[in-house]
Amino acid sequence: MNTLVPVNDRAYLGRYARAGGDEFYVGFHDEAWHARFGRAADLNRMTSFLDQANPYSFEEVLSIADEVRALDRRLYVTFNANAYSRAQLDFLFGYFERLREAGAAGVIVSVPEAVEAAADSGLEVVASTMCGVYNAQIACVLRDLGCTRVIVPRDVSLGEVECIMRAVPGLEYEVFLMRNGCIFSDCYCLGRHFKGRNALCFDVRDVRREFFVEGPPALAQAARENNGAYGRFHRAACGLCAVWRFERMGVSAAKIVGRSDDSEFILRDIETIRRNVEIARDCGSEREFLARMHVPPERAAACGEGLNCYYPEVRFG
Amino acid sequence: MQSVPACSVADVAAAARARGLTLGEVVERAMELAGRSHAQRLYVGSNFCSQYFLRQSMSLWREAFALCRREGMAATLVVPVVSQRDLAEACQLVEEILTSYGDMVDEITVNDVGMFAYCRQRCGRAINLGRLFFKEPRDPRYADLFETRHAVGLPAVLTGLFSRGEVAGIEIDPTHAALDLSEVRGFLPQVSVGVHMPYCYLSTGNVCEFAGIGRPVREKFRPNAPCAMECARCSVGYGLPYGTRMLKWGRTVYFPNHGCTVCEGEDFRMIVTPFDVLVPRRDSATRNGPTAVFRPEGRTAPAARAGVRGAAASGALATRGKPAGRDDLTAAGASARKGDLAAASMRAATGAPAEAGALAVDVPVGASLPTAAGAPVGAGARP
Repeated sequence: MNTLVPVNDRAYLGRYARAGGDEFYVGFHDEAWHARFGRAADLNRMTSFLDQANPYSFEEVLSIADEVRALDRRLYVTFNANAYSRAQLDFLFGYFERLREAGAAGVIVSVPEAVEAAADSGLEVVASTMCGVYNAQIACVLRDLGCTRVIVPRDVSLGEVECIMRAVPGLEYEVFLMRNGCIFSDCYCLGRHFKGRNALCFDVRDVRREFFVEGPPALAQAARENNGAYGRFHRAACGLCAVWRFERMGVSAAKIVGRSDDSEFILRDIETIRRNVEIARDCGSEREFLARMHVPPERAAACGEGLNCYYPEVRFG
Repeated sequence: MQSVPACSVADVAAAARARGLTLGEVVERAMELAGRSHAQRLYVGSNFCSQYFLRQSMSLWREAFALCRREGMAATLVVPVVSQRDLAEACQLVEEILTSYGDMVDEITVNDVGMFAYCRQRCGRAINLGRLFFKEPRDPRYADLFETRHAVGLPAVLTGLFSRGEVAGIEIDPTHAALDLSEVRGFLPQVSVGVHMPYCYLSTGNVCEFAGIGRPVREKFRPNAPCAMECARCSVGYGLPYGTRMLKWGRTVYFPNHGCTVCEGEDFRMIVTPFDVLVPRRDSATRNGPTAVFRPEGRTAPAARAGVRGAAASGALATRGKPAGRDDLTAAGASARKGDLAAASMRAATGAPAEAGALAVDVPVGASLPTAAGAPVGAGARP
């Protein structure tokens, strides 16, 4: 299982690679895009975070592709906005050919209509989590369109990941492993993320709430207590306990989220994943892995409740 | 342009029963609030939750289809995106419903490409593409983006399906202050367009907050966890600092958009979901006016600025280009009166005071935002 790492700071590329980063992904900003479609038009899912999440221009990403290739690693470039118009798609396709020429391995796309054009450019085509691959039927359609890999949404259980993989061979599968959980589905969360204002998932847990409960007062109290736990759910997220099972399933890549995160944290996550993958490969059972695995102290503090687990079923059934 | 009245009890039928209401009563009140005398079609099933879809009792399915038969309504079966664990069972349920109530169900609304492929091959019914196919950004927290006349586009991947005649209709949400259907109609004159009213879905997912009620902490918030349909009895309203109000119902967050204006196009279906019947909320038409966004003094809605006749001050969907008729509300004054009447009617129907929910529990604004290690403050980070 490869470790997939965000390129949030190209100065770290070499260190990321040496720490165990096998694959990289990156988004970019492009003034030409905004000049054509307006400031509010998303080129990728994090366009509205501006340079915090997409610090590089397209030209710079072309040179990053070259740099990653020199490191003997693979670079995927993300085009994962919620939706694109026909005119926007035509504009996107112009990027694909140049990315392939620069040495990018593939593109991450959020809409089925981008698959064929990307494949025709000679790029690997990754179905973003924005494609909502929640079952084998959907994976099958995307494979048949020409996707080479799908990213399984983070709100899919381990057992379901395994079922989908068995039901739809001929695809690579990528899973979420570290950082930035989500209380909603990436695919179906349609609010904006403009810099300087909260994402919806933060707002709904921190603003004034009014509960409408049809039932006895005890139910209202239970709903309120439950909401308290919900406020702690996936503030950060980690799936390290699932590494052994993902290795056995044949998952191709484990993703570290965090195109806008601090590079030192990313670096530590790469090292932690790599170390645990090696431990997993040396373990004959999940039980042995769970006993031997390495959990960084800053993450261990959040393990007890299971609210920051991507895959809590491993530890807590 | 004329809108065809329809009512959706998808995702909410169980809540009607929990409140002692029949589906007939819910539909009647919902249509009355929308300023309509009746519904011509009923949507049954779930848009968002495979647990709801599978757990809705058979007696509710029966009640829904019996209502259709009694009132002469056509029925649309609504199928959500189904998690892998539930896929086989969901497909089986679809076939069972079509077997048992096939005379009532003349179309199916699907919400993902996999179920579309399945239903096209197996079900022999007209297929609509549901609201989860249409993912244009929407967010009432940004008034300048929200208060526009939005030209509804068609995802490019769908044009091929449409051109082969494989899709009978599409369903969209009231994403902006005004929707312009002319582009869709230009492509698809033969396809029905349904607009869900008066709430727009903003976000959803496989994790249900309410399914965690009563569970040990370590078992809470599992993706697609089996539940006891707690959503039938619990929902949450949000008051955001930007003047926006939202509603979480089941797994989904909505914002009210009672004043949405639909313009430029042919007939469309107005699909009313009866949230205002089931949750007498302290917002929207009942308290803060019809719109989802706080509008400072002196500002007007874009529909009005654009010269579109609308119901920006009403609780009803507005249309354009035709004299007002029984099922075609356009005059803002009349609509405003109707909105007032509707609000009063709703209060009378529920026995609720003007500004009270069934059992409202206010939770104060939380502390400052916790920050995940390395994540930016105030940013819900994304891949």
